[in-house]
Amino acid sequence: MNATRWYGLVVTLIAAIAVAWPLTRHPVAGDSFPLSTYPMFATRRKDARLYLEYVIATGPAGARRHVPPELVASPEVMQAIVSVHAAVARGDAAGLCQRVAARLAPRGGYRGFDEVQVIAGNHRAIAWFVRGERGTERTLARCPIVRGAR
Amino acid sequence: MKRLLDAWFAPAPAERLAAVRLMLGAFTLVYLATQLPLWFADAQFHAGDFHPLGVVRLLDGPLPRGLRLALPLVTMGLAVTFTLGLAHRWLAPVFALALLFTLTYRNSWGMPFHTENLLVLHALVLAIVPAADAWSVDARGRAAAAHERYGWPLRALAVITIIAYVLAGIAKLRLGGWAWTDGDALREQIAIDNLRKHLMGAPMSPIAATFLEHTWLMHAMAIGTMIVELGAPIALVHRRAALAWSVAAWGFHVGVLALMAIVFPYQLIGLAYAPLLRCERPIAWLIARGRRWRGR
Repeated sequence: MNATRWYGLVVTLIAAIAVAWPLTRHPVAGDSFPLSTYPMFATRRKDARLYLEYVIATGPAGARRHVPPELVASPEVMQAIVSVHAAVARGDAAGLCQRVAARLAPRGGYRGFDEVQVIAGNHRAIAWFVRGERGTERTLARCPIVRGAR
Repeated sequence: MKRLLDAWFAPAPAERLAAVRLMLGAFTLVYLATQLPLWFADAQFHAGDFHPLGVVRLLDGPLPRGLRLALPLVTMGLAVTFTLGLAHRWLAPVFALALLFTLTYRNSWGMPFHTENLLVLHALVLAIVPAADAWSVDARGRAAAAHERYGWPLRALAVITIIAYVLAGIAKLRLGGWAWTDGDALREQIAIDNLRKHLMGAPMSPIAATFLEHTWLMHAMAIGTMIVELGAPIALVHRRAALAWSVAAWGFHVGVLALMAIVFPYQLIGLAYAPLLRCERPIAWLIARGRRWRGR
């Protein structure tokens, strides 16, 4: 075998073993980057139950809008979810509420809203989409959207 | 064994490997540019959310803001040299390591994504093979003849893609067994993912609700997913099988986009499957058209 083939074999084997290495780990707990177990879409979620903390803006006459992730923490939905959960877990729901309210204050799109709420929701996702059933919600923090203050 | 080795080291044109380099480099540049707003979103980088993965575990804590913002910018600069094939032997490994660190750092805040793994793994291999012997500043217009040194790297890249898909199939079997193919887990995942997006004020799939009403569709999609993932090695058997599998895998990601609004850009653009295909042909066609246009 010539040098090209030896080099090719060594690189291919190292790459293949490295990429397959996550098989030795738990599919969820052992996930990492870039060597991944690729556990996406793999787990069962009984009743498609979803507990989630999220942020909404509310206004007069029942106006309600879910605040998008980029105004909460990050343009990435999953990272925003983790940030919101972490804020709630460390007892900072009120702080998160105020930070989001400050971001919404100068935005024209939120002129009709006067309050921000951090909500803990408990929903069944399939029932939500197929039968239109809403779950329960609990307000963890609420704060006004203060405009005109610098 | 000899036949297997000969097949593995079958010659390929230098342009095919160069085409993968060109496309991966250009993709990285555009991808990182579109992701820049995310790097500037300070709220995302709360120290309490830092869960270092992979090489980022070498850090004691989060990077200062300036260094954090420098990461994608430096990597973008190196992506330019990588795409151009400039000093490939020296700068390509630096680019690959920078990309590894940058994307690992980005994935170390909350949860790892699975949309960037193949990009990084392919870049790491391309950095240590002669991917700039054609269509590069290094080659300076010289044409390299087909050689086995351009063939095996393409197969190594293809093996990485294939193992990734097989691992995804195995993860489903390990967590849900063959019962995963009844479609219930997939249905639950699609419903949860869309509701999560709705509650977080993000765009969700406009057609997911319709699909969720039809359990037989979910069953068929789960079986199809498993066939694509566990059947990935068939792509190594023959060129036509590679093409058929690539189309099927691409279709899977189109389905994920349609039903969960999750974008796997590297796969959707087709780059994940480029090493399996004669990917130099569109670029050669473009170059020929350009030359003809200049010759007028």
